[in-house]
Amino acid sequence: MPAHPTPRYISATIMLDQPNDRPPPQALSGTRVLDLTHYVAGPFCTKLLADYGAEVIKLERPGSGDPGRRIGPFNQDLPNPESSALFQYLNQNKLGITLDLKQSAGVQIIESLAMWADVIVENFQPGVMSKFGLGYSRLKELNPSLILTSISNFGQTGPYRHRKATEIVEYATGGPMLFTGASHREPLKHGGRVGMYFAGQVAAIATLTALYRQMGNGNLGDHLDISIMETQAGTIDRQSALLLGHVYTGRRYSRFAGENKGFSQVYPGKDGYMDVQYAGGSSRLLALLGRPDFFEENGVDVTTALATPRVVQKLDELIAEWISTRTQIEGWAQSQAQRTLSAPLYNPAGVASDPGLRARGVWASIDDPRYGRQTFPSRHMIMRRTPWQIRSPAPSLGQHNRHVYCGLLGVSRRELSILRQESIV
Amino acid sequence: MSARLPLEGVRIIDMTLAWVGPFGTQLLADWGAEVIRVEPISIFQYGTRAIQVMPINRGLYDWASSYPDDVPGERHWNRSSLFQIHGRNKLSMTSNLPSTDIMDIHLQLASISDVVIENNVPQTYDKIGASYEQLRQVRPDIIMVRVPAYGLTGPYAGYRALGPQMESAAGYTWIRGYRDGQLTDAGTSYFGDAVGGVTEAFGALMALCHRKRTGQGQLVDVATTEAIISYIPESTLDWQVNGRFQSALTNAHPSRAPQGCYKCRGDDNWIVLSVGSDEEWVGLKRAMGNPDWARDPKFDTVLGRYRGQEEIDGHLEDCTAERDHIELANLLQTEGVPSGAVHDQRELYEDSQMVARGYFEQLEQPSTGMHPYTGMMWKMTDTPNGVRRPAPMLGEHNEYVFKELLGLSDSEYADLEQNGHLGTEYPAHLYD
Repeated sequence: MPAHPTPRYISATIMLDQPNDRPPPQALSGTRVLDLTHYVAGPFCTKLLADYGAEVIKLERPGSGDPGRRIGPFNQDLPNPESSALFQYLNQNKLGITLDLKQSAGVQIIESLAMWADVIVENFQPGVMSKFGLGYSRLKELNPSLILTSISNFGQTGPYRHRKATEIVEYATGGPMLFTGASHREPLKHGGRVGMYFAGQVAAIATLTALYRQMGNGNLGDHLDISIMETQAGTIDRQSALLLGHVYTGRRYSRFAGENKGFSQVYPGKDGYMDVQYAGGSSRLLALLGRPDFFEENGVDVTTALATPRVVQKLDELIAEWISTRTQIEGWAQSQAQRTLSAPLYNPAGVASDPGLRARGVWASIDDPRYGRQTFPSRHMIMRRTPWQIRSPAPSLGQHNRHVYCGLLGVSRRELSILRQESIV
Repeated sequence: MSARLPLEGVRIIDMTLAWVGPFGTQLLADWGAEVIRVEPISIFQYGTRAIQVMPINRGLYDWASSYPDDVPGERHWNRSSLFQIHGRNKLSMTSNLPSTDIMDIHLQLASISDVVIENNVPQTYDKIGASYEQLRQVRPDIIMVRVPAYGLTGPYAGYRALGPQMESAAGYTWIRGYRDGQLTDAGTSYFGDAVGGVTEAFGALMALCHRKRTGQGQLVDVATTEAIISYIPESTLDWQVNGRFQSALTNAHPSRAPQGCYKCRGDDNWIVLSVGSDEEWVGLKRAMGNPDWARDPKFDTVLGRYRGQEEIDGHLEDCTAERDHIELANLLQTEGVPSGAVHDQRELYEDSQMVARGYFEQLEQPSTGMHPYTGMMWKMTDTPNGVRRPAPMLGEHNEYVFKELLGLSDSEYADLEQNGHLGTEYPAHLYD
């Protein structure tokens, strides 16, 4: 067996070009993550870890890199591997290296990084890691306390493990899609790619539970198996309760939007839409509308109101009229003063310009030498003692090869140039 | 012997309600934390232990929660499907909040706990619960995670919202819907509750890891609305960098075509599929029996299919109309096309993948009987795990918490009972 280069246990973070920018401690400072992920779900998982302090080394294939570099939106609508704003967002705070896992020298290098890492996150098709010779049993031999986090469409086992999917397939097979949308239309998927982000964050939680145990006396590793389909099946977005409800009642739960006024409705206002919830405060809603006696006037009470179509229609008209004369911010403030559940239904410009969200620091900017000032959604949450930070922008392809190979793994510059010539790096 | 569950030994005081908060603590309880729900007994928490019995919901479709055989039954708060799911693996204690005579006991419990989690409107929590400063005095390394809709600071800190309102304020509702329909057609989703829940758990776990390393606790401020914003960067970034206004695409993909949801044989049976490459297009054609329309060379390229998506959709609807949705999805997958049936609940229970992975777990709850429950959100290969106990009856663990954990004497316990803190029932006027 060839000897592995001895990893030098130094912090990857302090190898950045600006040594003076050494960040204050963060929640996950000192946690070492080797990131073998691509596209969205995996990179979002490692982004969450990197944003709160983990040292993340992201590995991409030489030449083309993470296919996520080819997903827009692109700066100035000009697609190139360094212009995807989405890639920037998903890969801030990570170090980037390139490596060809299909070559044995590449696998050897990964093996030394596996000894460096506390956590490896990957989202290849199940079986691919083993094909590279990097299955969990091998990795565990190298590093018994390693946590391997695997994200896949349907899980590492079972008859669907090699099936293909995009986000819509997970939403459909996991179940919530059937009861989303209008009853007279086809089932409707999530907006954007939120199912992928959700799976990525579930993977981050799974990783942290294992990390918490690893940091304790156990020093135990484990292999975490996240099936995106199962994250949809178990979601609190109605699905988990409706699955049990089906067994309770025998009913098949499908789409019924517009047939039940028990939840939120959308109405146009002066400058945009508002979302208003009927239930959860009907008397306060009626007070807000200036019609506290509306139910009595119409011969119903709270238990029969929403089951009476003529009353629902009148109530609908009252709310619509009230909202039509107000801006989103006015309507929101006035209805909240009455403790009524409501919110502006923002379009992208609305959410970006809302003064209250801005005041909370929802957006962050970095100055990019190529594209100027870039504004991104910032922190995921506020940790009062260990804040979120941007320590570095997303790496250009292979940006930290020399730092990682020579600085961390002890590969000489001459050896690195051999690896480059062989297209391994 | 299998490894200990990763969160064994972590004690969490759970003062959450509705869906966001309890979902986060469900994930922590599932993986070994001792989660003690503190349940006010003088307030009936609609939306947490029940939805359907809420007066305004009487007679309406049970859109998120129901009871065995549609009968709420005796002590229905122990029986709803909603509470059964998010309450599993947790303990329940009661107390009559807000009430000053019990605050000392709460602080005593905090002093032997690791994390306090709550997701009330901030001003409501401030009336019923101990502040972070108070908690720190009794437990210097305490972790507190608060999960209001818009965070603890800023002009909207006191605003109320459920999932749909947070989704709307975050800009998510705008990008979810039918391209050619009304905003109202999209119906409601509660995806935001799921996002808030996982973010709450994420915050608690990061703070636990930090504490393990440094011995320091902290306050974590999770605004669910902001977490939702972090899930939809595509639309906000397109606005920021290109001034473009993304809107709903129905079921289409921004670059793959065709992608959509197509009706199959039966009343309400559907299939979804997604084609992104020439190979997948060839596979789709084969699965559909190589119909004449699909031979048109203009569909042979990615760009041609992207431009012709509407025309292709029309043809695909004809192709799928008489096919069985599950068989067709299986066939498409053998042809290498990403696809799947839109599963209803029974189909998901019977799905071969779910069965092979043992996803659902049979569990007996004393007042509802034996039923299959959704399983763990992920698997740990070396640490087999399952649901350990059904959702607690209201106040089921009062004796355990007050006597065993806190060491109260019988007479002290009786005093609490006398003062209306302990119980297993809500007074009828709270929910009738």
